[in-house]
Amino acid sequence: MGVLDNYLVDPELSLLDKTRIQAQVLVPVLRALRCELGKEKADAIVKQALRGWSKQLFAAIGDGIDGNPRRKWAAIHTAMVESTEPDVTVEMLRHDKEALEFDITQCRFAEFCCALGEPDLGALLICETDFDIAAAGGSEVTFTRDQTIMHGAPRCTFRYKFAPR
Amino acid sequence: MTSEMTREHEAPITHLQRRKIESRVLIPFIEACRERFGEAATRDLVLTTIRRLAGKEGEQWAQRFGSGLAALQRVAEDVWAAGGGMDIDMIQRTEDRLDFNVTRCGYAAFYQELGLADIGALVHCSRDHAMAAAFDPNVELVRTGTIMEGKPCCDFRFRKKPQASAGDDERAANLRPHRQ
Repeated sequence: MGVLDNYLVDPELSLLDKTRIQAQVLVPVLRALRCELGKEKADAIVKQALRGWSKQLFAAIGDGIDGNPRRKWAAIHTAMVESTEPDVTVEMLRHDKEALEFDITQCRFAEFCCALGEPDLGALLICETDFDIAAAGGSEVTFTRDQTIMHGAPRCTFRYKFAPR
Repeated sequence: MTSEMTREHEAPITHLQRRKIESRVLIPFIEACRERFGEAATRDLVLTTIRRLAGKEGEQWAQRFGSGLAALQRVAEDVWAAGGGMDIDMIQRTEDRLDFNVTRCGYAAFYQELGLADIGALVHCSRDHAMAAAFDPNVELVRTGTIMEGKPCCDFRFRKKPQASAGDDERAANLRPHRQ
């Protein structure tokens, strides 16, 4: 059983396939809600819902992994890399005991969500979860990302700093 | 819906797995909607959208399996029940009837374990009538209860609608009030 089973539901499924399945049902209900409430209010509801869900989910996944927070983060991060690898192009910049820095230069998640005209929803479903995964590392992992392809930048700048052991 | 969203090169997974994956975002969305938008309005919104999606699914299944009651039986057995999604007790299939009971439902078990059978009924069971109507406009579904709502089985009774004959049309015309 993989650490992300509760997130992906099916271990054979890539994260992009899972995202497509969720978008197929979520986008129509979100668009119906926008017709009722207007875009701003409807988007606020979906944001509240998906952020809360993701935070809870990854906190629970972290709780289920043995070891210190850094190890919890590493286990989730590694599983996410395996699940997303075929759909992103990564340029590794630094990987040592103090930091992990890489850029994503091509992203099929962003291509998919932007083609739907739903980059904000894509950010909620995909990009924002990286902060919830970093949270599993507690004070031992600090994550910053100044820009993403999903929101129009040419690359996503992932920067992790690790507390000294 | 764009073709990008519906393209069919996803990994093969069971129908039950697909519904579970959808539920991961639908459940928090529906709960947040209820809180901010109200119970009744949320229900109407979700029902309308889910039924529209179910109709599209019915059309896709008709393209894959054909129309009619024999094809509908294949949908139940090969799609809904795939991978142990449910147990089906087939009662009869005749030229104009397809009757079966679902005696164990993995979809209901999933939502009931979460304590969310009401959401399960909304996003899952409520699809079936719209799906059947789109699958074959000559077929209708009558169902008096579901496992999701606590009944011991789901009694699916599909019927071919009686075809209107010329005589029926004439009788109907004679029953219409005549305008002066």
